[in-house]
Amino acid sequence: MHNNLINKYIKKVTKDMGSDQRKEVSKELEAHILDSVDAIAAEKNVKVDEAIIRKVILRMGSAEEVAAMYPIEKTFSDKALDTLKDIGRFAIIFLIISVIIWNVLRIYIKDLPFDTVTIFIFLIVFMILFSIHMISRFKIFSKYFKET
Amino acid sequence: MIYIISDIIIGDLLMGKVFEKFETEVKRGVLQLGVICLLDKEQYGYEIIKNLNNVGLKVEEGTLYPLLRRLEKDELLSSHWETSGPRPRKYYKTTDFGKEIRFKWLISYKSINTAVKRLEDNIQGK
Repeated sequence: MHNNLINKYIKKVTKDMGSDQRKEVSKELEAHILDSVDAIAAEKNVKVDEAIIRKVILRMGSAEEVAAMYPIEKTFSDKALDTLKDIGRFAIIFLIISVIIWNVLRIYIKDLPFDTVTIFIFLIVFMILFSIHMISRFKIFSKYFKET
Repeated sequence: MIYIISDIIIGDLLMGKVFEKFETEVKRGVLQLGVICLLDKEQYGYEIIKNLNNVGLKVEEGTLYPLLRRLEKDELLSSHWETSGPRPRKYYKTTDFGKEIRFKWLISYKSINTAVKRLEDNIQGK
């Protein structure tokens, strides 16, 4: 039917949740939206259409605001996954920047002492240092344990 | 003339905003009390919203579910899934701990109400 709209909204609300919480909240919000949609359609004596679904979603309030009201419930594996994603993101940024710098340098300097392997080694060293830095500064922990 | 009109419009907008902010803040507490009073008999989210609306406590739908989750996390509510109906529903009920807290919340809420009443009576030229 018009489940795409509903799914899109629910995805936005549950985007930053841990996997268990996301599953439960999604199921509950979906049931609520479908109940409301059915009730409005029955009241007006019409078939369910996109306009009704839009109206119900609008009535729920903005997805970001609803998401912000939920308590943070993340399991250890959720937090580990978040940390890996953070490290991965930084690694990609590092890789892109180093490739750009490498290519710019190549224009001006012939016979550069670096090649792809060197950059790869740099990347691994960087990732190890960055992981140690994040863990030692408790950045990972304070970020995911914060109570709201 | 334009200044006066724009003043009125801006004044109205500001009034609406200030009113809304206050209402949101007050409602957050009252809603918790409302839910915990309502749920002596188990109900699911959609029912809870309808019943709160019926007694005159208007709830923005997106607000209720995070609140239920918080109350459940604090063990004031318990819940279970019912899958026999047309769609799966999560039913909530006030726990014994919730009932104890409710008793205290009601006392605290009533004393706040009395204080506000006294303050209102003292407003001059009311």
